[in-house]
Amino acid sequence: MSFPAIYLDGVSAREQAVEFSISHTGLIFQVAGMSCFWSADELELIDLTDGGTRLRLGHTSMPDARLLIVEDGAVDRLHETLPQVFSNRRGGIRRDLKRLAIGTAGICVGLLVILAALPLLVGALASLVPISTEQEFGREAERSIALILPEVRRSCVSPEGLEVLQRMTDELLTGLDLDPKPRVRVVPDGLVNAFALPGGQIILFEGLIRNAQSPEEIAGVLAHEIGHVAYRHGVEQVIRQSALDAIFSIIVPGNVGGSGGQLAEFLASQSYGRDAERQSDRFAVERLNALDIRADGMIAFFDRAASDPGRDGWGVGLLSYLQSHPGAEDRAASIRAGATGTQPILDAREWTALRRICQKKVEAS
Amino acid sequence: MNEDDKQGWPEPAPPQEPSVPQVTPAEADGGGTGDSLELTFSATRRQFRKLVLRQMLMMVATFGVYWFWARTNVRRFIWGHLSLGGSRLEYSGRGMELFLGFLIVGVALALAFWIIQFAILAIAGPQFAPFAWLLTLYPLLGILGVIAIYRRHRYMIRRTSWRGIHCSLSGSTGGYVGQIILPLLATVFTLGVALPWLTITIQRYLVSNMTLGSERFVYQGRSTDVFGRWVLCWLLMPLTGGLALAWWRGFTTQYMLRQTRLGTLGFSSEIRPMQFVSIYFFGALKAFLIVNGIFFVIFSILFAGGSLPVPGQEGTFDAGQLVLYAIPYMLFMVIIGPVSYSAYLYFVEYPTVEHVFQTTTIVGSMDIENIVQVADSDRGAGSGLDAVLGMDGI
Repeated sequence: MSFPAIYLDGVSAREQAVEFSISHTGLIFQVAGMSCFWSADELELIDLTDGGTRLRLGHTSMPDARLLIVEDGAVDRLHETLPQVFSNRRGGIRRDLKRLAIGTAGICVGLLVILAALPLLVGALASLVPISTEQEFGREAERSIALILPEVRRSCVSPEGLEVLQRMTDELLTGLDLDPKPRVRVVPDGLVNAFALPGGQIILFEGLIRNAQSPEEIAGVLAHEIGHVAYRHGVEQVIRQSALDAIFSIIVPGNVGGSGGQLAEFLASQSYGRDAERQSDRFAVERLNALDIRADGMIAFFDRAASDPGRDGWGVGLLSYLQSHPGAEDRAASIRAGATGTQPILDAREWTALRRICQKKVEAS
Repeated sequence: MNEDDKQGWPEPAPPQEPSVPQVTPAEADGGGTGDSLELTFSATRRQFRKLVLRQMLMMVATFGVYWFWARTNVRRFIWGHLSLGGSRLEYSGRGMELFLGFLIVGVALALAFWIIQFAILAIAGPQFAPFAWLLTLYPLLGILGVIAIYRRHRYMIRRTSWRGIHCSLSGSTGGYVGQIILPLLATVFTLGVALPWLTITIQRYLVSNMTLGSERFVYQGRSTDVFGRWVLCWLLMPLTGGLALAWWRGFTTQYMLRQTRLGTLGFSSEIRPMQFVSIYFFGALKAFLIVNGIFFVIFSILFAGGSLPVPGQEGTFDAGQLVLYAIPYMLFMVIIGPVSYSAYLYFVEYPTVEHVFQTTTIVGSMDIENIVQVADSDRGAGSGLDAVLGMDGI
């Protein structure tokens, strides 16, 4: 039984009316007096439209040739005789899903590789950033923080307190040759917090000193912040954040580049990530051990932080320290495990002087 | 073939007088001097809706990755329902090509952004970095956007065929940029007044480089023809909240069709630009209502319990931060993205396309047999640039 169809040879735009027959091996039809045989395994379903009544068939070896079938009877007969044609559909959902699965798997693997490699890459890139640039970041961060906490613009400078602070800092830096060299100042604000900015500036809040029950607590926190400076965590964070921004702008098609303005905000957020915090903790413990200074102060500080209900937000209480330096319970435990020091860092007179450092204040330069 | 080879085959039809087949080719009997070609668009909104809904679900289920296939399926649907002279157009583009194109461009752009951002940070310092970044970003995006128009059209044209004959687009990205750079700068520096120059230049480059097999399209448009109406649009833009642009799109589409010829064939267009305005206005409104409705539902479900999960409060490690930041964001985008895209397609793009096809006729006649296949020029990779820049639509 033969059916009518239209044949396109893929060479000219001329349509030719043909009659074709279906067998289990393929289709046969006559064109310009010649017989053409399209075998079943070379048939390609280009399109099936109009509720399955219009069929466009292609040929794998002659990609531009077409056989257009519009008769219902023909399509049904094809279904019966050559059902495999209908599963080899170009753009069909089965092919789609297979490709999609492969594609999605590929992306996931790619993303995992990137995420795994990112810390290494970030570390390498951080070392390429010049110190002067880093210090500029730090200055900018200070300015941003000052917008939220205006007291940051002022420093506590009572002479005896300053001397003790400097001595403590120098002692903690013994044997280290850090570039940028850490500089410490105390800010007259009741916040119980401390942070290290890119470029070496370390800021301690008066609240931290007042809240401390021993000078070794301050020493521990200060050593931790020096660790951030030593490892250039600030710069790493900047790089990491810009990488994430770039990746995000691309992953979400149509959402390009929204990040510039958030940079300053971000520098101010001070969240260096758990790994960086742990690294700084280890540094602090090593420092204290090397100088044979007791770590029990630092441990006590974290114990207190973990149990203090405190108040939320950038307010009062130990909780604010926790928010930027998280995981107090674990950290107390790991410090306790590694600490070996035995000596105090300040005597009673020095400790008193330090606690009174904010009796004199100036605008910081 | 011998008789023996035809074992198991039905009797072939004997050599015969051409019996009248039930399907008539568009060509008149005896190969005339010319044929007129009718343009018909046979899709229905209902069919399109079914398609769009299915694509939307697939997109949501695949976190948006299916978008490239969805777009391809939409194009295939539209091409496949458009007939010239009784023969349907074919679209041979593939989702995988778009996807790979996107990856390639995406990676390149991400790297470029990262490097540029960082360079700016180092040079301009954190204080001026945001400004410097915007100053660099917008021109960059502007140029990339205009290039993306070319590459998107080039991809679609090269994947179009009619009666087995391929369409092609010659020229190159470099050639294109060379042509549009002056009009683009003029448009920017005149705050948009010079836009017709850019529009017509793009139209000219695309149309006059386009071929259907051995026949080349010809474009006769000039920007001076349309300047007057643009100035009016430009003045009305603030008053109409940008709807004047919809009018402009309708108008320039009509203009382009009327200025285009293919051999002895021309295009007559009765597009009503005001119809574009109406489609955009009501379409956008409907899309907006639906998207917001869904957004509201999702929002209520996600945050029924309590407060927003705020990232960055707990110090977290890189991957952790990525996850905390990313999850609410991506969940949101995963659903809203496909829904918005689908709503836009159904309420705005499709009615627009439908209107264009229903108001366009082909005039003149041409000997179809003269159109022959030309050896396949470079088919090119999938256009990824417009995908990265989020140039949605068809």
